Amino acid sequence: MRRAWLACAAAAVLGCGSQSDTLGRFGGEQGTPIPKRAASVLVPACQLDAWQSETIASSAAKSVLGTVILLCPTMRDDGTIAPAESSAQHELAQQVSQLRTLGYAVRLAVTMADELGQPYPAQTMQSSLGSATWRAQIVANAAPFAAMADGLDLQLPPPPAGEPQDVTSLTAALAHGIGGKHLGIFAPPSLKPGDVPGADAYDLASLGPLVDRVHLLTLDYSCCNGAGPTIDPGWAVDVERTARGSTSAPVDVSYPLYGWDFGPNGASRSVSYLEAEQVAGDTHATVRRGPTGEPFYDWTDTAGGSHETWFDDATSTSWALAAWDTQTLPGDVGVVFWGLGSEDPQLWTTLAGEVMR
Amino acid sequence: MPRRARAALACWLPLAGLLLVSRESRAAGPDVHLETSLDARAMELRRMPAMVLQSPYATSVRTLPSGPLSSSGPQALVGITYDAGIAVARRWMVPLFGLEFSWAVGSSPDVIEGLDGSIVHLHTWTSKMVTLLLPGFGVRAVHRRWMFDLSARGVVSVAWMTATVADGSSSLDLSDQNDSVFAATLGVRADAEVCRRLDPVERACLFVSPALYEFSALNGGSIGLRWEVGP
Repeated sequence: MRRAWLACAAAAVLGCGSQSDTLGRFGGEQGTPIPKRAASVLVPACQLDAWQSETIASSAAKSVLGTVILLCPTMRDDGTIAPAESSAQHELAQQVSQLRTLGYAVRLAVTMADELGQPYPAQTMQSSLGSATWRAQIVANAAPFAAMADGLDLQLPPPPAGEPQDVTSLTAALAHGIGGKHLGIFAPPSLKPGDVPGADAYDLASLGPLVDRVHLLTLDYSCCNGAGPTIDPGWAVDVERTARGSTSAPVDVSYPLYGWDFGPNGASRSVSYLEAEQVAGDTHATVRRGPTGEPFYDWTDTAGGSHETWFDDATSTSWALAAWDTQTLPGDVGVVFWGLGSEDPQLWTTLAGEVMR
Repeated sequence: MPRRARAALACWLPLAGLLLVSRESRAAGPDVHLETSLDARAMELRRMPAMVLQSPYATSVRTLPSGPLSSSGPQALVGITYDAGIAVARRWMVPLFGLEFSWAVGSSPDVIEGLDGSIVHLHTWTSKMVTLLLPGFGVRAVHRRWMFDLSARGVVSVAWMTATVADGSSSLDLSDQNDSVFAATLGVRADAEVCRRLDPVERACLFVSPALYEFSALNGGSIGLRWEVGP
């Protein structure tokens, strides 16, 4: 009897499991490689700064990325496209040429904004998009940009809802006007009609045959529902599946390189990785990792306002990309990394080491 | 039944069985003897089984389909086992049935997996396993106070652990809707033991038990101390 008690007690004191301190790795001990995909990076400017130039020239970035998309030029409501000056266009052409020399395909994302870079009011945008004259002017003015790059992408701010024929008409006009060049389009991350501002303006069924690629803007997941991650990988999968139900055109999902600082009274702004790290250091905030792997922390500004900052790093990005195995997200789905220059400096090295050859 | 009561029952039932068999053994005939045992063991699974989400799981924005996750890798466990069998003519051994409960021990990592694109965290440190030991066959040799036993038998094992899925900034427990994540297998174990007789019916044994097939081939095994009752 006493021995039985001893056996029971011995088993009990053997102990229980506990969580180790080491950061979990995707796929456990074996790890899960990241599927190789057509990868692009979007530069939110016409020219790369020194940091961006150095990054894009690195062997790590070259091994991950195939295409650079410059968020340039910009359509105006008067039918012009900026930069309109020949010297500025020449500089842009030189930038495109430099990137090509590094081995990248280069596309130009044509956006629409006023001289201050602000979106036009809904009424202005609606009248521009709905005007055949305006569209013809845009097509004519887009020609030199199409000539210097490997393709154009239409990246409109959210247009007024309920006018899908306007976006389709502009896309059709551009597709016809730029000849044999590739034309792509950035589309909102819609799961059902009316769920995302401006999504109803995009009829992917009619846009699909006009473009060589649809870039789904799977960004800013937590934009409108309180603080949270910039992307949820599972949500991005559903967005891609919804789009696939409407078009047979090749599709990209977007991955944010920036984060969001959610401030008091619903105010929020985008932050780079380095900025987020610096604020965390300055405020002695404890950086934790959210359920998707995205780091976040709480902090208080000098005016006493409470903030919550979420941003991606190399780890969270590699987790998401590994979660997108080819059974979940078909191999022909590409990834657009959004916001070169905002990323974790370790990102490209990490991805280069984990991407399946 | 309260958790504490269940734990007490789990500890007392095998003990009651042991005492009963102890009496029976002394009264049984010379050729066929019922015997029983209780052991404490350390286990190492070379590879935890791939857990399966048994039914679709709804988060706030999507529904995850049921399906398998990848293996979380190796896992250390400790367990206790109650077992009963028949010894024939001090040469043959027929293990009859047993029940084993084991749980993760030591520090284990948070293993991250993808399930239909969503990020899933497997809490490997909460791993648990229940094994039903099925009948088998073995041989036995006795030399003075020492006894050597070699046997093989079938097992049915069920392993499970807690897991959460990312739902934006929230984590949802995958076990809070319908079924949990678990894996089950039919397998085969070997068992080799060396015992020292303590008195006419009790023995203390050191044993090793390789998992010939348990979730996968040659998937680790266990080592431990066993208290046996039987002539």
